[in-house]
Amino acid sequence: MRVSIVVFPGSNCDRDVQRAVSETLKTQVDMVWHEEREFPEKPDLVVLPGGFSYGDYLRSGAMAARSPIIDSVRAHAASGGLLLGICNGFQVLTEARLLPGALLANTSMTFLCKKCWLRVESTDNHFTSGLKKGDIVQYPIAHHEGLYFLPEKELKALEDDGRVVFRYADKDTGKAGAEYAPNGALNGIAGICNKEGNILGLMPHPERSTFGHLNGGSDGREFWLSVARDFAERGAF
Amino acid sequence: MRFLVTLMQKPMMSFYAEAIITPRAGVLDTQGKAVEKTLGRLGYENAGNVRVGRIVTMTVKANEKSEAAEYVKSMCGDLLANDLIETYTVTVREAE
Amino acid sequence: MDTEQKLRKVGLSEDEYKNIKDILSREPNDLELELIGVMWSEHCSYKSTRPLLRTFPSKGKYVLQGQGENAGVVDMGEGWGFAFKVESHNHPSAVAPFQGAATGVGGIIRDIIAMGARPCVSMDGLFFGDAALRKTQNLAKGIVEGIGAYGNAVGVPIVGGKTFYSSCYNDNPLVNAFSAGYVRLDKMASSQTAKPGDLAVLLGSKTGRDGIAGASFASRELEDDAKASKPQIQIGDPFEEKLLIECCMDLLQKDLIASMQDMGAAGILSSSSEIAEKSGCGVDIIVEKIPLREADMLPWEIFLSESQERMLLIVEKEKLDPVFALAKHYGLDCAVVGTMTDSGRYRVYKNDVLLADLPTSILGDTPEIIREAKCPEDLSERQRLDLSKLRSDDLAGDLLKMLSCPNGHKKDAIWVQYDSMVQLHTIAGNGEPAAVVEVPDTNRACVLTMEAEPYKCHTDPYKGAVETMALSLRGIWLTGAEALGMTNCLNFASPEYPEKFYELKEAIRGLADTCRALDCPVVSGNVSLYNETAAGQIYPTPLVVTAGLVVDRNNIIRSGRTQQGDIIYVVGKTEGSLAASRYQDHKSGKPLGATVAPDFENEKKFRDRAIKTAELQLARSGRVAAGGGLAVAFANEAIASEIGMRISISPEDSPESLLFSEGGARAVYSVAPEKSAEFEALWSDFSLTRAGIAGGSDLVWDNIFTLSVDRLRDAFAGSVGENK
Repeated sequence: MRVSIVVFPGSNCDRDVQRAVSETLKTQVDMVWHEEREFPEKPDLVVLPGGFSYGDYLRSGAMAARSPIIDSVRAHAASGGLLLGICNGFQVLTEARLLPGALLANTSMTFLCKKCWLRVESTDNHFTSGLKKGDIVQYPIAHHEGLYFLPEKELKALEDDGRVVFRYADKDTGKAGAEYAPNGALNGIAGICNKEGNILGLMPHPERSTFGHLNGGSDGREFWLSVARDFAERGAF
Repeated sequence: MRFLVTLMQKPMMSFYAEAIITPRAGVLDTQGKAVEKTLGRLGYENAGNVRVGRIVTMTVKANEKSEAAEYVKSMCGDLLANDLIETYTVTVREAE
Repeated sequence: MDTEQKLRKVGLSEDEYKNIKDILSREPNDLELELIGVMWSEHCSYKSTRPLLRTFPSKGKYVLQGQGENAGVVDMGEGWGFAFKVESHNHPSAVAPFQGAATGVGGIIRDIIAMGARPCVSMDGLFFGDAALRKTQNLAKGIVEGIGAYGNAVGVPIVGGKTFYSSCYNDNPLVNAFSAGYVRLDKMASSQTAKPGDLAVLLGSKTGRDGIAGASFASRELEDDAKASKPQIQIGDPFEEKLLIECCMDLLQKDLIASMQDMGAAGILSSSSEIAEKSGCGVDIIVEKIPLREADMLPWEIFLSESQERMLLIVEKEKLDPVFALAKHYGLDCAVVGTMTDSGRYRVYKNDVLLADLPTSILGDTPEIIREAKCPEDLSERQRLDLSKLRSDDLAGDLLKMLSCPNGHKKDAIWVQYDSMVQLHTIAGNGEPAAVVEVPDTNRACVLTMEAEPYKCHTDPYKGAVETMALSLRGIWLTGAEALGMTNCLNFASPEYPEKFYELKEAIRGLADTCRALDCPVVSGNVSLYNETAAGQIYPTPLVVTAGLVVDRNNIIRSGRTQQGDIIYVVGKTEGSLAASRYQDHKSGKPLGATVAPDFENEKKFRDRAIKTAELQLARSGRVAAGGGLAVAFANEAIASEIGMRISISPEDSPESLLFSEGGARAVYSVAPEKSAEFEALWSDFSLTRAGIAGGSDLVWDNIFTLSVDRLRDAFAGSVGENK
């Protein structure tokens, strides 16, 4: 599997994703500068990493969603390629309208960096097919704008379609929902995918829970392995 | 040829434009809520519906005012506002 | 303006003016006077403290770069250097908390870049006033948000720090920003390697009027109405800083720059004159080449501007094109503003007119002042402690207070606002006694501790400083690390008062003695004086950060890992001193009494055994006894491990002293029963007490108290002040 990570000028999790992906999947990872118009090699998975793409001035992800590389990102996803947005990358995906909704300021009005429990809500996509529905996993969050918002009718459609992939949850009871969202996200939504299941956006950082000796835990390992397994079974698109 | 046409047009005018962008009704405005709460604590109990948005100012070259306004509205649609969560109004006046 | 007025404006004395005329053999012109005034200010020249700072031990087997550069560098092995420094941003943060603290973070990060290192961790020492005051809460909120906003966006994890509350900081909050970075030894940069003919290149933001003369601002007491000082505050842009980091790393990787220097206090002036002076060159600066944000700026404003996110690069002529190409790639402004010369002079030209012509030595090699030091008259009163007034009629209640008071409770409300995990190398972060991060691509780990003991330094500046430094070292050793070096930030009141200067001098003596005795060289530092207003002066607040190295990161002893059945040991004396302790301050309402006397031989014994304990993995968990004494150490360990303990030590002196006394080389360890014999053997010729056993859900201290771990946790979650 060939992976490309888009590097915006203010990306700061680009190297982290590179390390997590290359060490878990032992695969080639290309770092692609946002001013490129095309990917140097045709990627199988494109990752929009966390950070503050263009300083996050105006709105988080707004300017990144209009940067030169985005046309190629769209084309890649339209042809069935895997597209993953983590944290700021999720914000970019919504600003680019590749995923529905918007990420608003946390209800605490502060930045929040902490480990969060999430429940896997759907495995009917090309990212979490290797996880078990209902599993509770722990990935860290680190954001100021992570309150997932979508108008009521569309939100219902998103839920009915089973496109909510991760929801903030309680570790002990296994319950998930708005009351467990540290940021006020509607319905406790932490990650969603598109209808085709090849675009995933999530606020928590699986790359930060990839190496067990670090302080983010190791639940994210399974996430990367799941992406790789799905890809191996499906083959290149 | 095109160069000639441009030369024959009268010079463009300069306008001062403001785009005021506010959260759409029904969208949770955490900043507005926090500000309203603090205003209440300071004794401004009669204030309600506080919304916090942003204002983008600029100068625009255009042939006339309506053209300048359309130009800025187009920017709002393309970048300055996210119409899922925000609305905007544009005002334009001639620059001094 | 007459001469007297001019001198007042630039902050120079009559004597200094005479001295300047002697050096120049003429009258300086107005611009020259401005330039000299700033470089001779306390903030830039360290004129009061340089003779004292020279007493710090600066050499050690791990020191690659000691004091005098932008940051110190120590050797982490396998080709990695570790550049680190702490610096104050007190005055700006008092005036504009958010921007002041944010630009403090940005400034120290550029010091690290200037060494060629990629910034990899930050920590912050925060000293706030009375936690119950709304003023404190507002300042703290702004400062914490400012640090977070900058640090999070620039992508440097904040992995620890120190937060301390005392009413002496009501009007003088302190913000000490620490940053560090890794550099490959063959890529280290320096400000001493410019050559005549090289070009001076400005990279980054345009120069504006922000922060003009911030350096002389920091060399004065804060005016009563801090608002009057507002126009001088700089605005930070972490996005620009992120680009600056990436661009500078790229430039160094490609060997495109000969020398570099960050722009801190006194901006272009200090950076260009320092490089010229340290490299033994001169420099010609062309004013009209400097990119400006406001066109009508005067030359002195341009030279003193403290606009953020700028670096000065020294570039060989033939490498100019690739430097400009890289700057363009990152979207950064870049301009050639001058040339290094062999003249030994600092010359300023505007449109070919020579505006200033000074020997570089007058800017770099500034005069020192020998200040008078006098033992404070009330020092003996500060040291008088009536132990009978410290009796407790509710030891359990007092323990809960020690845990829930502003200086005791957990600081999650602050930590949660900082990204502590970005860069994917944090092993132990915020809330742990020592921060631990990976050394890139190795099994090694770097350990960092930040300490300050303002109460103890107030009642005895020498012993207080010794205890501060020793505490920081014990935290390093306990993890199993060897100390490689330390950096410090000396926060004091005006040195112009002989009694305050005495405190400064004594504190420096304490740090120097400790570092020398315990083999921890001082590699960098910063001095912040004049931390006072009409309302009061801060306690002497020397803050230290020590960097340590563990060769195998699997052999680190951490805290909060105690398990059922573990044997709990106290190593070191079971009782220290209640003087100037958290408990004593709580009972008396102000710090009183001199803390324990230094015992460096004992510290060394502790060091050797602690490092061995980790190396042999003889303990499951450990923590140094610090604020709140043994009782707080046990309580924190029980809370973090989510397990009870039964402690059965009896007091020698008094129960208050047993539970809450502080000072000296002491730690608590949790040891698995099968390793206890080996552990006891290792510590046999040191004070060692088998204190109890872990288990259950209560912290039981025989004959003294029983408290459930749940209750301890609630207390630790905080019931006082804003930062719950």
